[in-house]
Amino acid sequence: MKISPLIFKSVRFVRGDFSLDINVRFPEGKLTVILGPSGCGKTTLLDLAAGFLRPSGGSILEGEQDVTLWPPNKRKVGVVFQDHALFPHLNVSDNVAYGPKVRGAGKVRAGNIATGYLEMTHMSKFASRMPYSLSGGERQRVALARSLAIEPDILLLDEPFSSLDAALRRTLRNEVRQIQKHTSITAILVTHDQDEALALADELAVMRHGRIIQMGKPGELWKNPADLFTALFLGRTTRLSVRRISPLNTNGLMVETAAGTIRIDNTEKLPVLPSTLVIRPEDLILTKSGHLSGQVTEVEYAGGHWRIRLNAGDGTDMIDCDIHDTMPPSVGDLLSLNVRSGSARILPGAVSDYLEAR
Amino acid sequence: MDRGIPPLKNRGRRPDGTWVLLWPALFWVAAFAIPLIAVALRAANSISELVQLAVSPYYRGLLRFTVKQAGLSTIASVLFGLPGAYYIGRHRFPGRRLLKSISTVPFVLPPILAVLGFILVFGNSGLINSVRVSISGGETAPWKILYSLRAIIMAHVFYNFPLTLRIVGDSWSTLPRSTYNAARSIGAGPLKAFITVDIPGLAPSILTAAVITFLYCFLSFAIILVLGGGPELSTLEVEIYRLIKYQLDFARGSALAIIESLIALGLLAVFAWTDSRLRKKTVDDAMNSGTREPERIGGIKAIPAFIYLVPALFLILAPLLSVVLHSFIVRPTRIASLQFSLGHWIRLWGGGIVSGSVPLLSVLRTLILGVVVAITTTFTASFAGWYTSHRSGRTVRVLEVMLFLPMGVSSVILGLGYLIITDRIPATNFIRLIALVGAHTMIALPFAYHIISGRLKEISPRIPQAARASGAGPLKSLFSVELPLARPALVTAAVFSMAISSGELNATIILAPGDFTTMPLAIYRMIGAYDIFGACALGTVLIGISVISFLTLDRYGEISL
Repeated sequence: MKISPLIFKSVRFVRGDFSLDINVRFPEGKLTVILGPSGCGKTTLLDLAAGFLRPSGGSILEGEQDVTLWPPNKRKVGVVFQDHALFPHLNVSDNVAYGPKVRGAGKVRAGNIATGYLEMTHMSKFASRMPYSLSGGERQRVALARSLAIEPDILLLDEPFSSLDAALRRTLRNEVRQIQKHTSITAILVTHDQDEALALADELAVMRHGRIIQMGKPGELWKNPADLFTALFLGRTTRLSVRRISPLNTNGLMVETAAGTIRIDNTEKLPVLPSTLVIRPEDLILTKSGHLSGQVTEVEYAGGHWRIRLNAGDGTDMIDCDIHDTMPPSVGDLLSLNVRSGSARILPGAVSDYLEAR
Repeated sequence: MDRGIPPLKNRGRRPDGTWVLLWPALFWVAAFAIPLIAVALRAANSISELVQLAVSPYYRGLLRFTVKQAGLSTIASVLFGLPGAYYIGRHRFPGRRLLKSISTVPFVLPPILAVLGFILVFGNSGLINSVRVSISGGETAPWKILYSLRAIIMAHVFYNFPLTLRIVGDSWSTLPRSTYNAARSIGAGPLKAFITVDIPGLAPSILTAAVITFLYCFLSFAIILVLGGGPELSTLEVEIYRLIKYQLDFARGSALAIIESLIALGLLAVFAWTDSRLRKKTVDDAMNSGTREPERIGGIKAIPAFIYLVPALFLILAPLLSVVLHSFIVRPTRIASLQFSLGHWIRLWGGGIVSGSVPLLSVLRTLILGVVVAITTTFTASFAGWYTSHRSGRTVRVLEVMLFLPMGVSSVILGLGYLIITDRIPATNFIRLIALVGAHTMIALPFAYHIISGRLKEISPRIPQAARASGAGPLKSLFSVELPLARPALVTAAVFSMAISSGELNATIILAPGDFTTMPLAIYRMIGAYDIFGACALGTVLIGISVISFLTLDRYGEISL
């Protein structure tokens, strides 16, 4: 196994009215998570990376090597599918040994390799069982072992946890994380689940309409989303449409919204309307008389704290914040908040343009 | 793994594995296209022949009779099959599953056996006449129907009504509940609802059954050959056979063959077009609403059911049972009563029933030929099925049309094409045998392809992709993953191909080298030599093969057309 990056160089793929246009470098030895709504083309991207589809333009490189036209069996790419795709006619051990066997390892050696990877995925006990007798989580472990057994250069995971329940999902994703760290394989995981993406990713790429909009460290994307779609899709955020912007003499802006007016520093250029003000929940502080205010519409206990949603102005203007008091506010209360300095962002566009991101 | 960028000429954006199609494509060209082109060229070489045929009242009469007997047979078969479809599709009764199974018998039954059984039951000294004689006494054959249009139609009905029973019955059992209930709730009586809702819903399947039946009857060979006779009871297919086998007039035979094929293919084309239109009309969201509960047959209702089902079962089973029974019977003198005897069986293995053919050898030949054909057909169909199950769009549609074309071309014509080609080269018996395997494979291929590709298309595309990512090439994935998953379909296709080969008479009678007698051929010659009892003994062996095929098919999955 060699550790190399996977590079998409202006890769285009067109089918019907869907088009994909990707220019990205998946860094070596890291787990990159691709996050996007359904239909954005993330599975197509994986199919291109595995060689199941051929691009209509551009090239795909594993390190220095152009693999664009290589069939899947020539590439060293392990794939874990959403629906496991275990071979129903082979038992667990033979499923895992299949790859080494067709790649020329002898029967015995292939068996030994299978034993090793079944151990790694805690499936040794199930070696002689048939796939139909396994639970969803067990199947996914076997699928993972099978994909690793060929000692791939690249590991692709297509929504691997989506069919599992919450607790199992957590366990399994930690195991995947550890195995990836341990083997330091270049891995790409595709998901539409924000929590999963933030929890797992070394690098996070947000995808929409066949394009990668932004890629970076999860924390960076959370704090500094490149656009309103990324901001909304990554998770809870305050979204207030900007009514008026007035530049201050001292290199700052006064931003007026339905919930109140706040001051923003260090903006490089003057935003144009329509724009939206976004602030993450952890950057809002409850006070007696803050700059922003709204009426409580939702109160949700999240264990240890309360998730509060306030409404200001019309339907799309919302404030999402957390309250750590023992006594939560009730629906209809008027709350007032302050913004941690430097945390508010103004992003072009209106929330109504990004309904698929909520 | 080799390093470096693949050469530029490889830069087609085509998915790999296209070469898997190479074998089926080569086979199709060699075993179907070239023979057919040979026939067409022979016909084109003698345009005068074509013109002569078109104006000759003799051949126009032949065509008229061919269409007439096929049309009448189709109407009768569909009408006789519809009540059965109604009972199988809409009712629950003891023996329903058995009836459904038995209705697949004619699919694996060689036509020559159907003819033999038909003679035994309906013939001049057949079962029905014997019963009538023993009841009323008097004449020896009160009911003479052999060698008449009626006999041809009845034999066709016996052979084809199970098609309607199955195809329409299956479709009847899946009609949506909602539209029928809606019709009833707005005031339609059961009969009105039946006419306005059921009949339109069933139209596509009735059309399918009718067209397939018509095609089978239009191209029917063995039944006409034995039960017809004389110019006024002959069809194009039999005439082509006579022209090339006895008059050695390949030019006229080819011309007639081209006319026949064009009519059959034209019919298939019209059918494909109307079928897709009809289906579009009936497929809508009502299909998702579940099907109607089947009704239980009881009380008064059991009487008409009984009146239909008993003769229907009789019609399927009596000819077969008669064949088996007659193989154990001798009539020592013309007026003596029948006696049990193993004589025919002993004669069979002793050989020499018909000069120039040894029945035991014919059994062996048929079995070996059948196994070889089963292997080549399953192999070819698997490759073609792999290709079409991994692709989509126009190419696949064109390929499927090409694969189904042999259904619209009679096997006599296929045999003629092979004969024209082998006539050109110094053909040894071995080459003729290869040609025979090719012809049988081509005849079985549409069915085998249908069965195998249907199963391969059900396998999630992710499964072969997982194999490919694991390192398997297209062929490895086909043999180690996809075919093992399609095993029941492979068995079904192989058995079906073997059954078709074992019963095939049309191409065999034309192509087989002089001393290469298969079982249907031997049976045909025995019938010709009035050795009915000997034919029954050999026929019983052939029935045995059919029954084994039938039981395998019944176990591994249903035949659907």
